Amino acid sequence: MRWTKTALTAFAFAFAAFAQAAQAEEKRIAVFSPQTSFTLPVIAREGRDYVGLVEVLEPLGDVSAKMEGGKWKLRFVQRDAEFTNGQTRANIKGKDFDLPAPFRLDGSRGLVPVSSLGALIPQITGTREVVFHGDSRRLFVGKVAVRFTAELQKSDSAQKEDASRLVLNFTSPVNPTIASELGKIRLTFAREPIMPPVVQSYTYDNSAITRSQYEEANGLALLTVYSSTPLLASFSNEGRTISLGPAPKAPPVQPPQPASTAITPQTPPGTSATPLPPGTLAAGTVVAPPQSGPHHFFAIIDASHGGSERGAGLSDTLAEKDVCLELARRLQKELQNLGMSALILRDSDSTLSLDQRAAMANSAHPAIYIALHAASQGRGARVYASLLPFSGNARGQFQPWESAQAPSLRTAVAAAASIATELRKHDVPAGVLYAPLRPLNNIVAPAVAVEVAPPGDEVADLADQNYQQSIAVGIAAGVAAVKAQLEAAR
Amino acid sequence: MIPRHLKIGVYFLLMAVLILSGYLWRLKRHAASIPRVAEAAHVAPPQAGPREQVTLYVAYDDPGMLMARGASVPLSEGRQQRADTVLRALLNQYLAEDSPHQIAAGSEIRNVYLVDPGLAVVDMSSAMADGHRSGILVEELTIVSIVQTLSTNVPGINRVKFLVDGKERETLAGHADLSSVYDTSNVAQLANQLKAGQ
Repeated sequence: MRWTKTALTAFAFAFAAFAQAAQAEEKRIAVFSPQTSFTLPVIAREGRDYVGLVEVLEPLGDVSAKMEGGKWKLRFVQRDAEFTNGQTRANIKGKDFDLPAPFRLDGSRGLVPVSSLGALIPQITGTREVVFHGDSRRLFVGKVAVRFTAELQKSDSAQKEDASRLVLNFTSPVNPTIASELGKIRLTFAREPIMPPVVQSYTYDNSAITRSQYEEANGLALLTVYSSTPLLASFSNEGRTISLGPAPKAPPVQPPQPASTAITPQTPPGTSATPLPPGTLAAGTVVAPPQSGPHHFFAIIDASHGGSERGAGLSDTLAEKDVCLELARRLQKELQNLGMSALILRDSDSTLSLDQRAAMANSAHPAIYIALHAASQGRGARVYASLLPFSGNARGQFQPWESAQAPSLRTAVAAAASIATELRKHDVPAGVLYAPLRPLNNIVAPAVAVEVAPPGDEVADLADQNYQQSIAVGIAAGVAAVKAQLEAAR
Repeated sequence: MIPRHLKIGVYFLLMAVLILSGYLWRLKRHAASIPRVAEAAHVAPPQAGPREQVTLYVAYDDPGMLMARGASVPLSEGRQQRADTVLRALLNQYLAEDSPHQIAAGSEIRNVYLVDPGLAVVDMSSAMADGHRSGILVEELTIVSIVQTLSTNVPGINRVKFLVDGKERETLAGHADLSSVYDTSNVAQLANQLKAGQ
């Protein structure tokens, strides 16, 4: 009985130790080079951190290793090195090199101390420009460093301090993971060779954005910005600039009104007099998790194309991207008039990739995603649901990226049919089709696209205010008709 | 002093090397005497010979429809040649003066690769993609007509991938996706919608 108790206690301790070990974050080393950036697991040997030398060198050039005469011989491009198991002295290109801890063999795999990389890699590769941040395990090989500056752009009005923005300018495009917590937003750079700024912690004389803190840990670079209000990150300058500014507040939900009473005169396309309605974001905005719950915006409106990508050249003076943007603004207003909050993904003439659009839309967890397009062929409007490509099967709750739309497709088709019906009620000929159109298939909410064609023979009529208004009212009414279904599927 | 059994072994190996060398020399002479067969480069479809009735799915811009049209084309037994021939016949329709679905001059299908099991890779020329009109409907009509024509006339195709000048491309002309692999059963469903002129 006593033995049983002892065994059970020992088992419990062992299990607890295992669980703790499993929970601990795996130690990693990040390697940045002109060819690629990658991370490797750190291996613990006798209380020291080790890493596989071949794994570090493999992405940097031709490397081979073999055991010969009791020595572990390594060849990188044209340079030879020899290591001996359990010895600190190595030989690189005929010269002795002392490791800070013994070289270890793990089967045929050669392990070197992580702390040796800063001196070892220049010897083996012949590259002088090697920087190693030992504490955070970040290794920079060659001219790869990305530097950045942070500038607080204050609002003109002293009363509007909460409109201040922190603008981060990087020397190369970046794509960090952005996480928002109460009172702070954190940018995590896993693949970018970010170098620390001169001042790593800075306190701002501002009530909205109070402090920024740069740190490095476990192969990552982290920038945390502390604020008194929820912040949103928006990308511009092809990923070289990130602006952190206050998140727009969701518009108050109004009771539904008859669509016919919602028509408001709008500024024609090409002019910039239309004020940005609340709830719109700057181009390329990554939507941070909203503070009032995940279901912040009912609809995401994607004005397709933009920036360097004009879309179809509808006429010499009319580009598809401009028609889409104008229509998006009208649709947003109509949806809001019917009590549905809506967000425009691109509310300026800027370039967004299809993957960026999908990621932004998915982050916002909408009930419906509506992409707007314009074409010179045909009459009226065509409403599309996604034609799913051939793809792998879902694994548990994870869908393949190319068929993320699959679970929502049935609801999307119902929404498309409803929109087409309402458009026809507004004297706009409309039909429903499937289309192989990205990023519809990458969206996790019901996703539809509306391609607007001219009402008659004149392509220029695509910019007609009344025609655009009819389209916007029709789409909004179509969405409103299936609102309950969309909410239920959310 | 070398042991006797080792000597015998070495003599035996030398004999084997001599015999195999002679055999190799004979094989090389035999190979040289065989007349050379043409290289397995891209084979142009036969312009003459037995003709066969095929179904081409032809796009019509005006109502935005896809219509099945019969055509008589010279076909060979091979799936590869069948794929080449039917797609060239389809493109000829679009390049004609009275084309119902104009495509850019110089458009061509450079090659069709049939990769088992069931995958066809269609490599179109950059002239075709760069000169294609932009729009969801007009682009999907081109894609669907190619996929549907291919899967209807060449047995065993269930997936189609597009390349442009041998390289991956994101879209045909800003809309129709070229980065993914088309599932012919899904495309057939869309083709039915387009045949109904929805």
